[in-house]
Amino acid sequence: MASRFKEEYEKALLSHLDTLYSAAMRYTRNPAEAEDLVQDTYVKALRFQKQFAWGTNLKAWLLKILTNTFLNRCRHDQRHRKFVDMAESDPVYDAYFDQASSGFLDNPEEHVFRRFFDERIEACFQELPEEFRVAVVLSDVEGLSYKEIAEVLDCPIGTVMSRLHRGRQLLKRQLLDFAADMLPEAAKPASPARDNVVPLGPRKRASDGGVP
Amino acid sequence: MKCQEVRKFIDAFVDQELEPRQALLIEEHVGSCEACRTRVAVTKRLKQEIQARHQPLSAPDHLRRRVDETVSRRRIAILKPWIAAPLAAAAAALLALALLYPRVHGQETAAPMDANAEVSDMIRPHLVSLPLDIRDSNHRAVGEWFKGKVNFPVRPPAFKTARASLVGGRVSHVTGRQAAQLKYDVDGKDVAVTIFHPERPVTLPQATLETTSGRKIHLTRINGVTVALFDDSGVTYAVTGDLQKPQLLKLVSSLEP
Repeated sequence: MASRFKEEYEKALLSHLDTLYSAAMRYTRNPAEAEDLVQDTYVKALRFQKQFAWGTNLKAWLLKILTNTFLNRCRHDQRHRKFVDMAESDPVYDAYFDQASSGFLDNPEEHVFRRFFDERIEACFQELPEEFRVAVVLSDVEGLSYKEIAEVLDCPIGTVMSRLHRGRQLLKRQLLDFAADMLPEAAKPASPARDNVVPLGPRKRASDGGVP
Repeated sequence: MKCQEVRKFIDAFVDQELEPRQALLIEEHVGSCEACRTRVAVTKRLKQEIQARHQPLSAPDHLRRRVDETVSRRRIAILKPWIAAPLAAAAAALLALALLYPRVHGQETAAPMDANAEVSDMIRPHLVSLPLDIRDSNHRAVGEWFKGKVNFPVRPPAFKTARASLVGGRVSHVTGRQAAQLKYDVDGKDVAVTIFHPERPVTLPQATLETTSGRKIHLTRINGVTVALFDDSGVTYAVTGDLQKPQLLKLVSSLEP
């Protein structure tokens, strides 16, 4: 009996391999790291088998292990640390957005979006601080609900919302900067707020919060 | 509702996580507020694009095999803490070299970095928490095990001294490239051999070049761990351990040419 149960557990574990690999790839953006991450997750899933309550959400449990392993590694990895202003909102960004959007982004321009995503999305994702990247991946790529994400991240739903919000905010700012750069000089809106915005880019590691 | 309040709920609104009553309030506001309407549109579009450009992935075959074996064979061992230092330093050393060269996967060339401290930090926990994928003292079995898991042949070196034995191995990576890592017990001490196929020849910092048994070996000491590096049949071997240089060199010379 025990061995049949074990077999079922093993089969169930393997059925989530693609999901775990997808998430790992989106977290790390690197196939070899993603594979290591997935492998470690399975080893832990076997080691901590007794902690899993049969009948509950195995996918969420596995994603939790995967995500924790990823975030723990990032914390030790000095090179990838990004300083993050954990404030709920970013008033400088908000002001900039209002100014920019009242001008040329009344109707979000199709070609701007397309070019941004063609050229910049990979880099933007890599630039996202890990806590935010994870929230965006779980929500928009893996399609989890806020409640499921809260389970995976082991945090309140409010935290999920705030991380998702900030992640998207950072991506949007990149989009607006990109769009502004694409416009000929004459068409650019007068936006004094823009000078105060600290652009996210490879050289900048500074806090991306309110203070420029 | 004021814009400031609405802004807080736009993500939840776009993700359809609001209760119907709340969603209605947002819709009403958005209907008459251009700024917020734009916000909603941009958020929606962002989400759509992210979804569209991240199609579900299938795990590659070699990963599936590797995981399958882990799950069904359960050949797992936890790395004892005392392997951490030599392995960590080994990987640190390798990464130190590898970081001097452009990364694979189309990333931009990175300027040479001060690798040691950063790399040690990066690698140490990475290794400490990882178990061996296979625990077997049979060289042929371990070599066979790596087939399909790394894209180069793995021949676990045989140290011709009686007090050296193979403990096992795991698949690892060095700056995004696959590597086979083998663990040996040499007279009670841990020695690691990392086998990989670098993009271009690697050089060890502050290394001496020794020639022994017809083999050219680069020898150095980093973070208290001795590292010996050599090539064989187009594959690079890094032998590392908490041994003195002469001892490690002697060990490496005991390998078959």
